[in-house]
Amino acid sequence: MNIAVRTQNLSYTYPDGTRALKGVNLSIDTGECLGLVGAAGSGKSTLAMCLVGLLMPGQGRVEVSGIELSKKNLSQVRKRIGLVFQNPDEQLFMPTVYEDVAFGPAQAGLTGDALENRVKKILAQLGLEKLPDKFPGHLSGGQKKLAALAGILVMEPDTIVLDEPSANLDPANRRKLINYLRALNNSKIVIGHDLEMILDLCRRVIVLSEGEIIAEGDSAQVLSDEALMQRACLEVPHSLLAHHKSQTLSRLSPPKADPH
Amino acid sequence: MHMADALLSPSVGLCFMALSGGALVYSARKLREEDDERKTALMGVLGAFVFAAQMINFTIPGTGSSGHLVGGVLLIMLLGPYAAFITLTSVLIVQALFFADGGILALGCNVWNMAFYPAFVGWPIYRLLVSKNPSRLRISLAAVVIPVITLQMGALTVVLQTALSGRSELPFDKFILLMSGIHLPIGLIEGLVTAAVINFVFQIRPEAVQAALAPEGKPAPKLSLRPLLFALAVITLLAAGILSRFASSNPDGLEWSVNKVYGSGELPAPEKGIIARIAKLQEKTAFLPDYDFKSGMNPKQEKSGAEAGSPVSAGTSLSGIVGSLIVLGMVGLAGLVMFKLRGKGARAQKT
Amino acid sequence: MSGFSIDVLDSFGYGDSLMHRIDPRAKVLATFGFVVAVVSFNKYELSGLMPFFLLPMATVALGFLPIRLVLNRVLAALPFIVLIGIFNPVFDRAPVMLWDGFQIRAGWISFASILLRGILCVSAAVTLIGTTSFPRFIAALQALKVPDALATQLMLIYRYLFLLIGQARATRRARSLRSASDKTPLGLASSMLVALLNRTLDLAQAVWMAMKARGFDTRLKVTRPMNWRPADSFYLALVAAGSVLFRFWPLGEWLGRMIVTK
Repeated sequence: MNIAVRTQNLSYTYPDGTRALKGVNLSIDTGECLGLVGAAGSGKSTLAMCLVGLLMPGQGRVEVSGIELSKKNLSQVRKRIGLVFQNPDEQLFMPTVYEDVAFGPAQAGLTGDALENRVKKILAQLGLEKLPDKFPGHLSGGQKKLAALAGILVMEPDTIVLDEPSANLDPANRRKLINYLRALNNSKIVIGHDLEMILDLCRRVIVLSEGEIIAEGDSAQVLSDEALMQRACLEVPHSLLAHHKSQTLSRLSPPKADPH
Repeated sequence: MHMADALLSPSVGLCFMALSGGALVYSARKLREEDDERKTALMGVLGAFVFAAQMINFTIPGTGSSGHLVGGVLLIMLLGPYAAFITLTSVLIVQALFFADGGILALGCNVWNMAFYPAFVGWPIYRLLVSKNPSRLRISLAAVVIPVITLQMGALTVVLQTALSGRSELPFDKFILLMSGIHLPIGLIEGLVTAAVINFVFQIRPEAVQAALAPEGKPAPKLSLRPLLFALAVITLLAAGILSRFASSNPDGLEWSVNKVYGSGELPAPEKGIIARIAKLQEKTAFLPDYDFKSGMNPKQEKSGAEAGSPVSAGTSLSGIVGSLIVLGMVGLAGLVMFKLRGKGARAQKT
Repeated sequence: MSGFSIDVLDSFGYGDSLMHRIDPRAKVLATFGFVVAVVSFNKYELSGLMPFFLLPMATVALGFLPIRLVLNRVLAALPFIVLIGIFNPVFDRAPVMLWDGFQIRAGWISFASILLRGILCVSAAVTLIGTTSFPRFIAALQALKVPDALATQLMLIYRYLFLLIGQARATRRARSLRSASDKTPLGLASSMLVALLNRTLDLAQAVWMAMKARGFDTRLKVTRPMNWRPADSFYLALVAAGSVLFRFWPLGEWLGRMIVTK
């Protein structure tokens, strides 16, 4: 098994002094889907940006597909790993879906028919083939997410990092997105609070709290640890709560005229 | 105020298209030299901000009428001259097409009046006032002073462009007074609002202001004076040409002010001196309009012996009117035919 | 600008029709030539301008544009033109004989000419964007060799202006829900602008990150290929020929004289 992404003792401090990451060690195998959970401010987004070189590590190293991240090889690294932003409006900055999806490969030098074919293929893969001339601002929330994903997939990276992919999605679109993600062969790092989704997609999970990894392991096991979840300012996902399961079931039975 | 196609002549329009186009190419080149990758996203988003800002209407104290931020000066303080010029040009293009503010040919004029002056006159003033010692006071001062000055220059140029085009009959002097007067308070208000906004930005995100002054640690764009001087030379030429024509053909309006100055109702030796020479040069180059301001005729009409009293061609006599109606009818009919025969078409759905 | 929603005109550009399908380069060049021809008439011309209504008329009909849309923009642009033009009859009092016994000031004629030009030129611009989506318009400009930096900015501004206008509207709404009067004093407006600008600068930062993450290095390289068809040549030639023809052949006068002298 090859290592898709690895960090060693990764630390990052913001210019205003905030220590966002304190010695993070993680690794993800090729083809694996790793979940990264933590409360707001735990360092998840910082970590995501370090992995793609938007922020350079203050200390420690990041290795992507065997290449160590440094200022000199940023463009090489960015061909191997892509980041899907939480807010698709920040990512979809071109005036049409086609141009946005084509952006990455075009910047890398792809032109003409090769470019067009690659873009069309990805659009079809994600069910967006009817929308190439659409203005991104006119897309629905779900379509925007998929378009943003398309813009990253089209670069054929080894690893995809997704920051809160299900944020602001209605249940139907959320389910659609999860299905698409599950079908992808790329290595994936899914970051977020949507623990049910992470349970669904990722076999392994890492818990981040105040810039440090406080737990790592099988998703169901880690996420059902109440004490741990509390420490991380998270909650055990409902599907893992045994006694909540029965409570939910009883609520669904015919209502009793009970003063409560 | 945006210049409109309806008031423009082709020569003035194309002339300013060339001038603005030149400034655009120059700015694009200088921007590439700056090689600041941060600016691209910033320019685009700030350009969009200009539209958002125009939705925030405020009441102008004392008049009750409403106004909004135009944003030119704010942009130069956050982007520097070249990036601001390109951004403002883009904004004007969008405004011309979507809001019918200005026109297609008039774009050249509008870019000159509303993008060139803030960028290339405003920036040197800004640098003069601020770059040695950026402080809230200096920045605020610049924010107030620059719009007042640049809006005056823009207003003056609109009058020049209108007068040179010869479609409007507004006398030069009255028009100047009107435009200048109106744009003084407008510039002041723009300045006050800009000052308030840029002040805040300087407080909470000083790097945004610093970035324009000293991108990436390099010294601030110093703006070679050459394009500025060239522009001022062109304007002076045009203005002088107008003034001389105006002076020779419309003594009444000028007499009053000339009387005040010289006490004799006569300009001293207009045939010699710079203005006369420039006027002669302008006549020779002949790309400037061919109207005699007094009689309102073009040289061809004058030569054909048309009366100064009836400067209008036969096209406006009865036959002209009848013919116009017939043509309009034909156009309408053609439109109806096309409407009936056009087949299927679709309006795009939004989602 | 109040009451007019940019979204409406923008959405029409994405429609499909004979006019929409014409290459945007042809439309841009044709419109420009049209405007130059219209403004090149002498200031008293009226009848000569009439045939020029053919182009906006045809574009509206064949482009499936509602006339209301064009009229809306024309009416919005008129006030400024009227404000300046209305002084023409004031300062140009030369008498013009229309027909026996009836004369008006020449200034009225030049004023009418200004109005006609205004209607024609604004219609030309509106119908251009009504039948050409803005991204295609930008592509046309790129093909016509405008500097890359300008094309890039047009793309980004277009992409984000709706978003930011939406934010401005939300800010306005929030303000009106919390205050008694509808008028915004200068100070409050400045605060609202500051809030908007702050969000804008954050957005700029995020977009820059997104661009960097996908390999951006100051030059935007994507362009959609355009196909020039014979129909596009035909259109351009037709508009060019028509503009030249009607510029120099006074059709209206000619027809009128035939009728009136009979």
